[in-house]
Amino acid sequence: MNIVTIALKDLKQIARDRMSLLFLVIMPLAFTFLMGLLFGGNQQTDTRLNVGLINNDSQGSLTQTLTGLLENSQTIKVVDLTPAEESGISDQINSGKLAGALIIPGSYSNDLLNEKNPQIQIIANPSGTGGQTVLTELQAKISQLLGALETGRLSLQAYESQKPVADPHAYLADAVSASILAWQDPSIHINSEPVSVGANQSGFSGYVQTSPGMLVQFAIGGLIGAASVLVLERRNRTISRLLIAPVTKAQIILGHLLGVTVMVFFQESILILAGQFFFKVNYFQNPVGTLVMMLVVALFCGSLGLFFGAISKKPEQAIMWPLIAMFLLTALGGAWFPLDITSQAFYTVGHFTPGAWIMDGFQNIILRGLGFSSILLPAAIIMVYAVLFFGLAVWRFRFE
Amino acid sequence: MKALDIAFKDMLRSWRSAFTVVMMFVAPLLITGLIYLAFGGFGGGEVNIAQIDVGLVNQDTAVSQVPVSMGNELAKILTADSLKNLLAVTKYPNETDARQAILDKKISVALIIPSDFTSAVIQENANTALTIIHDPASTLAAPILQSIVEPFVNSLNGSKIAAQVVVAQLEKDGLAVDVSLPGQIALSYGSWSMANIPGANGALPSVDLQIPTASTQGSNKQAMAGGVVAGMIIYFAFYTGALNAQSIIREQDDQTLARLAVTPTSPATILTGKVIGSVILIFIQVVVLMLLSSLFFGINWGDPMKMGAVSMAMVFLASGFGIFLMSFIKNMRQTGIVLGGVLTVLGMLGGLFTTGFQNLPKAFAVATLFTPHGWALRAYKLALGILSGGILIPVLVMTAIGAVSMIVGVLLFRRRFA
Repeated sequence: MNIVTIALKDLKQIARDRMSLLFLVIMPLAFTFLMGLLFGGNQQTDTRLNVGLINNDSQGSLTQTLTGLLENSQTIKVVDLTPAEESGISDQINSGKLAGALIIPGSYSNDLLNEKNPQIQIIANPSGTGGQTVLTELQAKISQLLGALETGRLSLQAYESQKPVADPHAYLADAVSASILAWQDPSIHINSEPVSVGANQSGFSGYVQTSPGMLVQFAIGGLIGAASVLVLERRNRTISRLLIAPVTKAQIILGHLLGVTVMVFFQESILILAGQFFFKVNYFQNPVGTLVMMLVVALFCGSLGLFFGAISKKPEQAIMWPLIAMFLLTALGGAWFPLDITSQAFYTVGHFTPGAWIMDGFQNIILRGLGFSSILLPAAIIMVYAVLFFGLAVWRFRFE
Repeated sequence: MKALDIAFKDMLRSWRSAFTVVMMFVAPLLITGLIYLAFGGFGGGEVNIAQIDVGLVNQDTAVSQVPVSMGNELAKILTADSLKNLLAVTKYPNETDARQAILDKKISVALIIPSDFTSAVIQENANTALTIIHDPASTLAAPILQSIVEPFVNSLNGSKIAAQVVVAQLEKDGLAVDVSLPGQIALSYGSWSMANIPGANGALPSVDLQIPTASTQGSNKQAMAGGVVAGMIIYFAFYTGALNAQSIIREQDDQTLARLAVTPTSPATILTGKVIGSVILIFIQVVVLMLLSSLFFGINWGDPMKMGAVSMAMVFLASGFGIFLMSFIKNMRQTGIVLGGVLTVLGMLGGLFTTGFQNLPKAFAVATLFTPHGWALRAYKLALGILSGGILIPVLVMTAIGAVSMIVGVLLFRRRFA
């Protein structure tokens, strides 16, 4: 009973501070929304990359075929530019307004038909993800056009081996059109599908990354309030006074642990409900698994909060440790960005942090649609960290 | 003179506090270092991403008319020595096993080559599909595998389309079509296709690839890296400004402020001392962070005059805004939320944590300018050449916000001390 009383006291103290609501609920929701949007949200908006196009050969038949291919792209969105804007293209790419640009030279179409091998200019930075994507997509479309033209030439050769062609350019144009048409439904397709066994078949979306990510970040960041309570109690000597009350040291420690754990669990509940109903992240497809993950994360954060409270002597330290842990564990654990886009060393180190296992456990449910057994390993590892930090907290805990 | 004494005392206290030193220098460098490590550095080199575990299910069956199995040819491409650092290929007998391997996280992605792959290449109306199945949490594995498989598949599709188009055009005009012609056309197209692959620079022979012109302050990537570090410097400079202003609250809680008030020291002198201390502290922080980021991460800060003007305005702004924020705080318990919460929210809205993202929504770019952090970031981006334009307006706006914040903060504090 003493444990519950101490926990309730901690919770009341935190709840009375209205500004703690900002850190516990409002900020994680705001960050989930914003960061999710930056990662593509629920993919309802046009996420195609802007590519500038200066077309100096707008009347050319093959050029028109190429621009038609570009306009149908699912990856890039053509932004028409005037030739006068050519000098500002680099600035537009540097500022992020364009991901790349294409300059079609004058008489491109005629030069192609006359086998003059004209060069088309692409301005892009292939060392960046956006630039690489643009380069790949533009070259795929150019290849399609040139392949269609090559088809026409092969056809022309075969035709001329039997009979002269009155208008070779018209013949080539027919072949190119037929070829482009055939490319709309080629014999061999490449299909891509995520392997998911549950109800969530939508694959990766912005909020599937940021909802659990921001939950981890602010569950740890929210420990500022919890650690501060302990520091203030020590400074005000209320902990010392508690020792003369009929309450054991173990009860005091467990009471504080329970308080922080319940606080984080409450915070998680709000964020997961918001994730489920507002951000369309399917936590409820495995409700028991989600509940177990919430419990172990709350216990882990409770232990971590107790540890920070134990090692902090001044209020500033109760802010510093949670902030540093928040930045370290969430960045390394893949809460800010998926670990598979990072370097090998970062990826390896990341998987030694509890943050990566929390992300893994939640993503097994919401993204992979896996069953209860899939969260057992992540949950067990997070519990090991919880026990470790609880042990360290008890070791370092000072009542005076 | 008394104001300088107060400033000196505050600075001494800050330097003696491990917490302040960590938040001024270690935290921004640590976060920048993490981003640096995560993406393989800022220097323009390619990111050496983790090796991708790929499953391969090759069900392709041989066809008598074709000497080679296209499935085996594709498998050779995936297992080529040149891709060994990128792909670790494991063969699976069937799709079910490969799916299970993905669920068990033994592999991130698998390629399923169907049994009719080769026959689909040669049979006139046959269609088939290669299937890439992937772990939905793995964002890069499937696109990378597809980018490797696609040129091969495009070559096969192109060959078949070429043969079909040629035959159709000849037949349309009633010309004879030799039975060997489709095969010859397909081979010719295949040869052309193989000769038209991207070169060492990643560009097709028919493409003139130009890298965007570097800004006057250095390469695009360097400038972008400078933007990321500038975001961190701004965030932690505002943090230092608020932390230093927090000393007023702490002295109030510790009753030392009351004692100071009975000495012949006016509230204006006390607050002036706090502001001077804050300005000097943030100035040192900004200079040190710029120097260390140049040293560790190779950041080129560009024109010293522009950068100096922007940094001075930002130092003034961060100092004034710190006083302003803390003037609303009643006790030390509330400072944690301001330091951890309000500054983080403003930093987020100001775009400090999203400097590396391209194609941000326009509304977000506009919203950043409703925060002092957003103006500071804009000024740094202009000075670095990431954005085009002059720095004068952002510098003036920063100075104005800093001055107004400082005046309001000082007035509120004076009213409290009165």
